[in-house]
Amino acid sequence: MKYIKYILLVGIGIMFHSCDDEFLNPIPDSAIVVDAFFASDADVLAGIIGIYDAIQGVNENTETNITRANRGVQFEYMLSEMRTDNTRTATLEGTKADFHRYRVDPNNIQSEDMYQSMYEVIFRANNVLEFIDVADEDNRNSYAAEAKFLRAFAYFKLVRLFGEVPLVTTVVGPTEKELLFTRESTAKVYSQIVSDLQDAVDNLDNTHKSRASQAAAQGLLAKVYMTQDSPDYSAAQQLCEAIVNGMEFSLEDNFNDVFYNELNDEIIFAVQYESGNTLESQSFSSEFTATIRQGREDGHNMVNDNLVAVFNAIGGNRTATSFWNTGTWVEVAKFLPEGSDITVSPPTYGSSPRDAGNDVIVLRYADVLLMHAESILAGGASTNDGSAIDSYMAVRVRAGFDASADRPSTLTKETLLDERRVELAFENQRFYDLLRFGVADPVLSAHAAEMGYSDYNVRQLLLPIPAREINLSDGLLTQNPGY
Amino acid sequence: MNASFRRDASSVFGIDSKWGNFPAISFGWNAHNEKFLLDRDDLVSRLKFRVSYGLTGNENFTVGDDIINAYPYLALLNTSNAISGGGITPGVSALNIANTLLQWEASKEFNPGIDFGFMSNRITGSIDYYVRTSDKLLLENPVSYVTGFDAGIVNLGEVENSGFEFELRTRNVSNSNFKWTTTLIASTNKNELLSFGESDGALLEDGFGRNSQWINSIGNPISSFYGFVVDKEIATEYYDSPYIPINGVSEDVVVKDLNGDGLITDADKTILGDPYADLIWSLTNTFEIGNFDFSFMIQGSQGAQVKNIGDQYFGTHWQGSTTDPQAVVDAGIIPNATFLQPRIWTNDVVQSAGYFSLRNVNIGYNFTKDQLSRFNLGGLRVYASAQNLIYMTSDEYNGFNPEFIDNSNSPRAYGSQRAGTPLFRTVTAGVNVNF
Repeated sequence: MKYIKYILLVGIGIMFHSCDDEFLNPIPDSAIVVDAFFASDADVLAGIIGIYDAIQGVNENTETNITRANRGVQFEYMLSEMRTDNTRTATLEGTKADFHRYRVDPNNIQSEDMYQSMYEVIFRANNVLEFIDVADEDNRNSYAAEAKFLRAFAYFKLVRLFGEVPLVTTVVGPTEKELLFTRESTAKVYSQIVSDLQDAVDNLDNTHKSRASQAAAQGLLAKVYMTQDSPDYSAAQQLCEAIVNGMEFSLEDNFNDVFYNELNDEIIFAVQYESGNTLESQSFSSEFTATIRQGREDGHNMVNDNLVAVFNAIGGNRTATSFWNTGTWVEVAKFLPEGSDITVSPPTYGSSPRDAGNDVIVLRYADVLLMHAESILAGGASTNDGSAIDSYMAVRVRAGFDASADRPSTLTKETLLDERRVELAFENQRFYDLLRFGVADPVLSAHAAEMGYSDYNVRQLLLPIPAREINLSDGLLTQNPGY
Repeated sequence: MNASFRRDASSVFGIDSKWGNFPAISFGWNAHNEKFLLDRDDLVSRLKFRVSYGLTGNENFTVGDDIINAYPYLALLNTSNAISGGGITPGVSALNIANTLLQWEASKEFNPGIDFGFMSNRITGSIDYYVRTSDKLLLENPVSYVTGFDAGIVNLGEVENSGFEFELRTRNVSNSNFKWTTTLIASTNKNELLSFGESDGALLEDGFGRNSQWINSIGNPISSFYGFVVDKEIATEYYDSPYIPINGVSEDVVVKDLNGDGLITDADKTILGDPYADLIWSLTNTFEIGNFDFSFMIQGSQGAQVKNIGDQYFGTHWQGSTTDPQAVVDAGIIPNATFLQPRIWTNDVVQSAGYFSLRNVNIGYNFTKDQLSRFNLGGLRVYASAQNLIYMTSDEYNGFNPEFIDNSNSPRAYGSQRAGTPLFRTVTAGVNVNF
């Protein structure tokens, strides 16, 4: 028995040394860990592709839970089309039906999702920028420029939709409350956007249409210059002319091909989806149906009579591609799911309308031509400038109008805005166009009065900062007026 | 007396916080072994007073992602492909906010109790009181979207669960032809959030965008339901489409101005209930009469609420919103338009989850060896059983199953359903044969 104390000691020793470091700190085989991952050029590129994934967003038909998934730009039509005179929802279910009635509140899910989605894009861009030195030296500038383009893309949406917003250009942790919850002036946000886009113009080429390119940066920057608080129309004009003179893009002869022939000559930048792929598809094409409902909800982006009337007046041959009258509703036709046939009754929508592959067109050549005219108009009421009218007429002629007989001697602001309305209908431009042309309040207040949307007031032109952000901020984050 | 000590480590936690120490101690006194009770088995056959105190650790949590569940302290990346140039292009993105300081959730439990047996153990049972305080809860805490995430796993807050547990087993009749036993089990529980750091008072929403809210605030149960209180309904004449909602119930209701400032704001929301039962009980009786056996269990729960928005779906209430709140104002029914709020934000959808059920009934007959001998069978039993023959819910509950909780619920926003999956009432009959 005299050895028992040693046996006990050995036993205790085993107790305290039974686990080695690797057992308790396993390097997971099934997961990728940041510190171990970013080691090569290809890894940085994978990080950049991950930013596009955030812009694409998760199909609502695949993952319905809102806390687990961001929608990227998939909900943008609610904020930029339904919140204008263009469209509305078929019924009044849920917060998605609050946009067209101008009764969005700080708990609105889709408005909040846009805020969340765009900051996810910004975070991913900031995160990749921290690892940029891992990339091959030849690629560092273009990779950084690409990340900055995407960061600018996100901030441009935020500043137009929410006004002053927190401005972060590095990865920020959850405890850095000053950075997370301090709203910066729109001038400061625009200055960051301009600097990021200028970097993209300087360091990118036109290799890609579904990733950032020089032309995409030029076009977006032109729009930024015309939107910012003190517009710079001549800088915008130079950028539009750089795209036109580059001769790398052209109008499709057939308007329908713009939407049903992906990455065609007219597309400068598009966010892509893949039909039938639950993870890489979009939900909005199915939501644009109501009569033979394909989506989860009763029908979104139903076309207002007011827009139909403008199409009848100036749409030319664009009408059939843009929308169609089902007899019950006027539905969007630019993004019909693959395999759709609306000539038969009842219409068919292909084999997987809920996992649609139609791209979101962010920028196309027709938009640049009309921006060119806009930059020469330079905020004025009209222009007689020949090159402005040339750009305007190029879009009109493609729509079936005559180059000489239908050519106006003067191009007015109203004419140009209406032209943008029909050419770019349902392409998430209308709300931003109204803001940029400085007519959002008169146009939308008249529209709200006509439709009986009594909740409209000018403050609805800015969306509310999400209530959950304000709740988390301990009083640091302020709300937009009127909410 | 018993004492124990555990020292555990988990790979889930941060490098410097993997280990946790979990001692426990208990005392017991078998009073029935004392001289004054030793010979009184017919009266007091067992009487034990005991008290225990111990620490336990919890390393389990679920955030809906297996990899984060396993390695929350590491900064992880996730496959994040995108379509580019018409095809899938491989990408990655950050999956979580790494928490290198994550550590064990610790529970302290104080548990005094009495075990008893009377009349030669014909009546046995126990009474326990418990106070369990869970500290440094492993929770997903919401973070600003500006971080690029919506939540991170943290050790946060302290919750106390306390209550009584009562168990009574009696052998009412026990002879060769007739046996009857009864078991009664009941427990009470009170859940209270004791601390919650900076997240005290945090509001959470459900995962499906219906804007129903929960509040996590000190002094109240964690994940309490939060919202407006209904004052009255509005008449069908103000509905946008009065014929569509089934039963003609509008989604909009007039709510109470709790702070009396003449406007309905978030300040008029209040705690409307919580998903934790105050009392859960069951009573089981078994009988053996000759070769027959018969048993049944009744069960009930009181005091819990469930947030049920089933009617909004089944009654198409979504379509009953008023078009023009101003018309209701002009009619003098409400002072201003803010008084009309969607029903899903009110106490109307927070309904009692209490129930009373005849949970199961079993009846059987065992044939004796004598009866079976000429059939050359080893055993034969004929039986029937039924579940949920009787199931009664509260009058204010209008779903299918008050016990159902939607699986998307998290610990901080718990207890909602859309009417629930209906409970099955099953009746089974069978024959067991042994050869």
